[in-house]
Amino acid sequence: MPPDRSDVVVRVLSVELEVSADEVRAARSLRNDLGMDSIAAANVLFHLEEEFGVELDLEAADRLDSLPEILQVVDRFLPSVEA
Amino acid sequence: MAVVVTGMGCVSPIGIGVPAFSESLKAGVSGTRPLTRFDARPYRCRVAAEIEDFEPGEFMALREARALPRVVQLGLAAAGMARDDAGLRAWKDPARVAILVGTSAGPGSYQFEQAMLFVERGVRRMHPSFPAYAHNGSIASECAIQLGVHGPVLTVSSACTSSPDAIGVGRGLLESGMVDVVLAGGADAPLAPLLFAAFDRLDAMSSRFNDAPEAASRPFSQDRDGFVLGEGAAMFVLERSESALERGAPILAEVAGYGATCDAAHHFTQEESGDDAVRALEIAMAEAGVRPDQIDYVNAHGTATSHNDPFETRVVCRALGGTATGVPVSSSKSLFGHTLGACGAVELAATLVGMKEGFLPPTLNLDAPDPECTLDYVAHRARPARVDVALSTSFGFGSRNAALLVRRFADAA
Repeated sequence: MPPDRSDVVVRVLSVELEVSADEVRAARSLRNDLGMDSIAAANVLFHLEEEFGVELDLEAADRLDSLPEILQVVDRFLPSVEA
Repeated sequence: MAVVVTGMGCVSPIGIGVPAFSESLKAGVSGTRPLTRFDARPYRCRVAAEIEDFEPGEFMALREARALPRVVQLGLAAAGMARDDAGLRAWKDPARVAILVGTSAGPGSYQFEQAMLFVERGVRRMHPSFPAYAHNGSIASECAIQLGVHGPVLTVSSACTSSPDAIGVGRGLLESGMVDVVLAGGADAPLAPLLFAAFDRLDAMSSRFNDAPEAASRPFSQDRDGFVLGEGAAMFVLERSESALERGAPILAEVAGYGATCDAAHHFTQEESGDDAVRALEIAMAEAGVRPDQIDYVNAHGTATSHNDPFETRVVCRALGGTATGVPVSSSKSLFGHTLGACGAVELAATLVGMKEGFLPPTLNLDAPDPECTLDYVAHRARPARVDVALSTSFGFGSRNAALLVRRFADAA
């Protein structure tokens, strides 16, 4: 079974922000709590593009601040989760 | 007071890490293969000395392994190895440590990749860290960040003499007392279409051995037809002998002389007279107080271009005088290609490995020497020999000349 989409996003955030997966999950604001800046946000999207093999909306990088927001961006560009 | 080498690290087409590099040097392994990094079909030359199996994640955090330009990764890997080899996991005073990295192309390959993304797909597709990574100083910067170095963090970009220049200037910083430890060497990763195309257009690279890549780099041969472009990095820890001895560090050699000159004449090549090139070798010997008859080995620039090899032979003959014919001279570029600004560093690593392990690195593919190349070039196979004093020579665009003289430390003590 392929890994859950949110697990992949958490792993990518963990690599790019150099924090643990638990810290990613616990953060309310990736910018305030984990120091994600615009460069890191862009790197997160580039990394997710490679992981999922799709092109994402890179304009979104400037406004992303939470795990659910990033999942929304990914979901918009990926086919719906298979049952 | 002597400046000594207490550690080295090397990432090359014939081995990642000094032990693997050493084994390949001894065995005479060629690192030249069919070019795979990009589509080779448009070019006359279709071979290169690529570093295979380099996993950046083994040397840096995953984030850096994904984002940093390859040349920065190679330099960083070599610098980390050198520091570990010197037994310096923690700096005594990070403010008195310097880094000097020699590079010619620097992140040129990365610039090319990013330029293509920009042109073909727009500004949003460019890497947001481009300004921080795209300058030649980024290799040294990243080494400082990753290794916690707080002293001068400098870059020397002087074409193919970049590395001896970085090492020579680093030696000067130690002699002046400005710093206590210097990480110096070079890195280049020029295997991208733009620079490859430029050298191909210049007809500077071998193109007659595309079907037999291992035979393509043939310095001093009558049928040589240019260099093989390679990538690599080598870094060294330099210290004053007093501090090295005090902390019981293993001393690989003394950097006893450095000569740097410029013909100030030509964009590409040296003046036929060789006067300034000879002077670089003479300065290195004079600084060390070494006579020509005391030189045991010369690690040559030996590019295998039509101009370099007879020219360099004449330079060595003039600088060493009547003793030159008895001195073995070899070109390690026959094994790992021409790594541009890194070449002097990777070749110094080859020289120091040979000095430590008692052999002369060979010149591969030397079936029939050019009649104008009249020296002993250690053809085909490494040769057992004790080397106490060696010269490493480099010549570069802009008619630059550089020579480093290294000497077994025990003899100088």
